[in-house]
Amino acid sequence: MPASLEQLESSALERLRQRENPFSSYVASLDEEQRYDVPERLAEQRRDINGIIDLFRQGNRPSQIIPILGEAGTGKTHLLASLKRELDNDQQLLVISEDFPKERDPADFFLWQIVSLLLGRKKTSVQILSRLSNRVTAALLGETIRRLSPSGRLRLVPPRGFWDWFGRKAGIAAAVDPSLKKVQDLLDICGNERFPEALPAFWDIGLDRDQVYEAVKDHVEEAESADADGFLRKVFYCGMVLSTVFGRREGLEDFLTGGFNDSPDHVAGAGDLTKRLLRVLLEIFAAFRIPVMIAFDQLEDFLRAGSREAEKELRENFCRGLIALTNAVPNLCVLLFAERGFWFNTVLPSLDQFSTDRLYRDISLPGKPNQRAIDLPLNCNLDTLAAIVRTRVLPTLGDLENKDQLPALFPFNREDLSGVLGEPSIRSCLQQLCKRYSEIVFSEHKGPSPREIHESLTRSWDQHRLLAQARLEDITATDIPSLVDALKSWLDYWADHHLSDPVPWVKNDACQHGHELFGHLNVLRTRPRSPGLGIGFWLAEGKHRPSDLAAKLAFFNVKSPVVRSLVILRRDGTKALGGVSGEHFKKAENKGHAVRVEELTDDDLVTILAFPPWLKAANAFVAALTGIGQEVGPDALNDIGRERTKLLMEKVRKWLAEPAEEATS
Amino acid sequence: MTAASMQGSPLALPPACPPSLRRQAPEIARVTNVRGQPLHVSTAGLLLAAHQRYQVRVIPPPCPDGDKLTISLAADEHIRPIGTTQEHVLGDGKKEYVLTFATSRLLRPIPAQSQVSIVLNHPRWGEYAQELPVVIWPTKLNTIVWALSLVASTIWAPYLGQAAVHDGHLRPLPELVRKLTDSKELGFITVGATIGVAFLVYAMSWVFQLCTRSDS
Repeated sequence: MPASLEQLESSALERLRQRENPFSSYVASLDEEQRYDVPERLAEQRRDINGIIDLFRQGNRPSQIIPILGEAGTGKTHLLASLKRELDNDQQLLVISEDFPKERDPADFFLWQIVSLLLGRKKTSVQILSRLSNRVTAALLGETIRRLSPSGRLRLVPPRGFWDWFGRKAGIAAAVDPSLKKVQDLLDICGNERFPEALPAFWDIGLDRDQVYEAVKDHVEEAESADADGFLRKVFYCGMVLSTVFGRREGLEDFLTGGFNDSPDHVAGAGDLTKRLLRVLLEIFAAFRIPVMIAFDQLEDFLRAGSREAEKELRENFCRGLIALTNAVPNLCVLLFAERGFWFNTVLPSLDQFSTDRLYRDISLPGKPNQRAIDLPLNCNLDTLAAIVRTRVLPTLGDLENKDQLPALFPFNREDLSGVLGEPSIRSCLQQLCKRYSEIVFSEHKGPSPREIHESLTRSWDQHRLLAQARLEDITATDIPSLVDALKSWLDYWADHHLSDPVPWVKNDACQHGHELFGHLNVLRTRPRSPGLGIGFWLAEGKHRPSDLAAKLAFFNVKSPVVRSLVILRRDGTKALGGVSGEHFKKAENKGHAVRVEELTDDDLVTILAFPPWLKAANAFVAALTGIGQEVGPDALNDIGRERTKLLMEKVRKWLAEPAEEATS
Repeated sequence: MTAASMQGSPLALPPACPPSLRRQAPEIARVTNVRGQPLHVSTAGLLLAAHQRYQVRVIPPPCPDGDKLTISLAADEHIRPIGTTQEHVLGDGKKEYVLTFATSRLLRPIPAQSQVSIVLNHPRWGEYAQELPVVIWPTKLNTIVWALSLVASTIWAPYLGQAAVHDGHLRPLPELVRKLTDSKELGFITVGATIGVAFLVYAMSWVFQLCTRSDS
């Protein structure tokens, strides 16, 4: 290493010691400054969300609810905060809802959310309302002028004296043509982006604002229907034209902030005024290709209440209200940021089919297969992690000279980052980096204590179990080969690391015979060359259920037998032994085969699913620690492996020990 | 700008938008003489002459449904459509529809107000009629004939009676002709009065036009 780089690193470390730990901010908030945003991370999810927004930008679309799902700490709030910043301009309207009162009508609630954002004094609010008013005025004025006959157009430019008046009456070109030219110029700028800047000049060259406003008003009166929706549109559009032509926003503000409640009887009597106004409001946004999105961050927090019953009621109200609203009002895009487990285990199971079809339906994006939600990945790759490090560390170095010449991962090394890659979420990666940063920068101690290592590994195990739990609903017969591999990997670990001494088998194989999906078994042999105990996963449902069982039983019929007895694991246990499956089973028993069906509990399944990824992450963690010179004893992993999976091992021992006939009977 | 390019433009509205924001009115609707020259416009409407041919030239609005939009001319009083709608493609790719119509002979001495209605049948939004008010001026010959008739009926009728009848009997034809050709002063008076009355009728026509106001 050149001396200058050493010096640079030393002065950088010195500089870092004077500042706060940049990794201590690992919980995102919506109002954060987004100092540490790394666009590469969640780039695909951002693209998908922007794709959906662009679909709404095309114009009229039915409303849609988009679930954005991820585990805790995977960056949902950070993503929303970065969307909020990215979309904070006059091209779209993003309302982030911080509340959902259960007593209120959702239409009422959403209307006020949008109105309150529109009428706010924030720069973006003013820009959006002004942009919308300008574009509504331009469109209405353009159509009004096109509908006017030449003589009608002359009325927009008042005569400048008697002779001008007389010349127009008499049809003298010198009096008529300049006025018609001015109106034509006004029409030309209606289709132009420069409309708002160019309009005031027309009042100076002789066009009459009152006449223009009256002409637009007449057009709106004539074009719109006399029903409640038509009335709301007339008042709303005229308010916008007044705002653009005269610069007076009071009328529009009064109307939007409750003035519509003073409407004539035929309008007030039509009912649902807020829903109608919301529809008119969204219709105008859609007409001008300004998408309106409402986002709920941390859905699980919205639906939290004092008791289980209250939570259930709140959940039902929220879902029903949202569905009823999106059914009745088009052009609304609802973004629900939720924890994946909460969504699948709490929200969806409590809904009826009608609601599920609407709340969790296919999202179609150009050039992509349909998907039902936008999923956030659990963790990230090394490059992204390196980008995260640079994004956080470089600003902390302040104006340090030549800081760009520091190593890309400074103050970490490659092993540090590899070690945290196995963490189950980006938040836990950041937590680990935070801890490691403190060790490197602030203390002499170079690595975690054995107790901290144990805690990290235990936490990692718990998180992997949670992830496996979330997958439970999706487990099908297609997962049989991977489950057999997972079981083999766990059994091998027990044998290789002597977690119990001795293990009751000498050889553990994953065998395949016949059907490429169903014909997979784990075979535990107590003597090296003798047939052993087969353990198979019977997961197929419906018409494939008997074939799955038959594929397992077929192992008894191979020429050189690999199994002497067979344990078939089934989630509903022996209840599955009805019909054709039962006949297959009886037939096997009658032939004298030692076969039995055992219940595969969720806990066992979660253990089997969680073990291999946990082991991979744990090994990477240990390797990283070893890389920085810290010795980690084998017991660090073995203790957790033994402790957390011993119940399943007891079952395996029991299967190996018990004769098959006894268990089945 | 074509319909397709309007759809892609950021300022273009989507096909389904509220009624008052729909592009239903023609982009351009103008009336010209058969040589394509523009007509004079007054606050009462476009100024046309009786017993003449004119053309309405219409460039339809950008239509999301393409060629399904149809255009026709609704004839009002004193106006008669001639032939069918002709379709041209202009240099910039836009379609222009040309409809020819003729004004009636108009026997009245002062102008008549009427209107040309262009009816666009939009496949999605239905019928839309654009009205162009017009003022049809009678021909000069018509004015002179009216003036002459007025003068003849007021000056020549008593004189003819006096010249044709004597003592309760009709005069012989040669004597009647001689009597009529002898009164040259009356001829001059007749010509002068006819010119005067013609100007008076013309002035009344102007008063009509100055007092008329179009509604659209």
